[in-house]
Amino acid sequence: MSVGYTWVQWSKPKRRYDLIIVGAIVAYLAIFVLTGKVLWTGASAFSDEVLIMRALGSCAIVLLHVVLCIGPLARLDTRWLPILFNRRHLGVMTFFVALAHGVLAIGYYHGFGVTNPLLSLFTSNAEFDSLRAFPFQQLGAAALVVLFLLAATSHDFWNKNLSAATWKRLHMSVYGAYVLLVGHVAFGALQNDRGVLGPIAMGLGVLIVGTLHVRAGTREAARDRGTPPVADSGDEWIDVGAPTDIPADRARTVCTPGGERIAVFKHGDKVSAVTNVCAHQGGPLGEGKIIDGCITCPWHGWQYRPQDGCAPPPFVEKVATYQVRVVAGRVQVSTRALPPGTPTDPVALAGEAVHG
Amino acid sequence: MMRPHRHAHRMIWMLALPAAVVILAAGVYARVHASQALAQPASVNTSTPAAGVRP
Repeated sequence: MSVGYTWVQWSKPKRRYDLIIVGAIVAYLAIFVLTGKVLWTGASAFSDEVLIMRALGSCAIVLLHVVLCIGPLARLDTRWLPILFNRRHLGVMTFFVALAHGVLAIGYYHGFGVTNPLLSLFTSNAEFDSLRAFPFQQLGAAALVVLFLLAATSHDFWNKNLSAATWKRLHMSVYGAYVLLVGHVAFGALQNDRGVLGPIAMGLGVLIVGTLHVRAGTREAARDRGTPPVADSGDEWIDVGAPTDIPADRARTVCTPGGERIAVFKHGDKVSAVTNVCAHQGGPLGEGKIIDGCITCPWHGWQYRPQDGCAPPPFVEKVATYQVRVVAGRVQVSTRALPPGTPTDPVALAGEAVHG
Repeated sequence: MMRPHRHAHRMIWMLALPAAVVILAAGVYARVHASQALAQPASVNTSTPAAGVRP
């Protein structure tokens, strides 16, 4: 959200976030290799190359699980939001760890013949009709291509140029990469090991990711089933609740029958409404709060004035606004979106109970 | 200002996660019914390995 272009707006929290991730990755790799040397001995021992390969591969899988869990976790509990803030850094590191695993595996298993290693990767096994000998390496390679696309377009440059909606659609392909990687593990590592730890860990991972998504999705669906709007004065109005139902400097989110979410904010003794969708990455504005008089997105801190949905100068982003009114002590919001940046008169709650 | 893509996003993970479960189950099934573990991945470039070099 900068008017002056800066490649990466490094900040202290961002550096700390990255240092923690890198430290955790290095620690994981070291612990995996050392533990592997102790556990797998004799006939079941692996060479150092294979051990490192497995450490990198399993690390990438763990990182991808974390990346996929952050979204629903942040929706279920706002305490996870700080981790979501730089989720893209985690995604890019996941790609690099997976790339290291892939390069090592291709070099080790395909680099010593006369066939080009990449050609060998895609042609040396065509047993697509066998579960046991399924060409799992192709699945891993396909997942790596998807992760590369996501890492390469993770910067705000692409978000801005592709548009937030297209960028988000593209980045939803992380779920495709996840399915490919589950297949890569299921038909690869799980077929080569006799232990039960691998299948249990992978099953737990899928279970955790699935459960969190279902829980967050169910909660959102329940929240979207609000009270139906009532027609009045040529408009449709949704009941938001009593003024005390809206927390101070925060919002209550309602959903129109068409599926559009509206964030109704209480700032001071006034109420204003904007779309719930941040112009940056579609973050849930209604889960943010008022900071310095501006609605602040919980995902990346983009800000908008509550009265007109405009970002404070010198920024130029705008979001749609909605008319609000108070009828018989109940806050109501119109279901008709006004063009982004349209000023509205914040409704004063004078005489109403405003402290929620 | 509609956000139909929100529902499309939901559909993506609602399809992807069961697919992951099915694939994992297929992998476990294959392993349980296998007589012995593979000594090495099925796809290995063994066309003409350089003697004494390949790990």
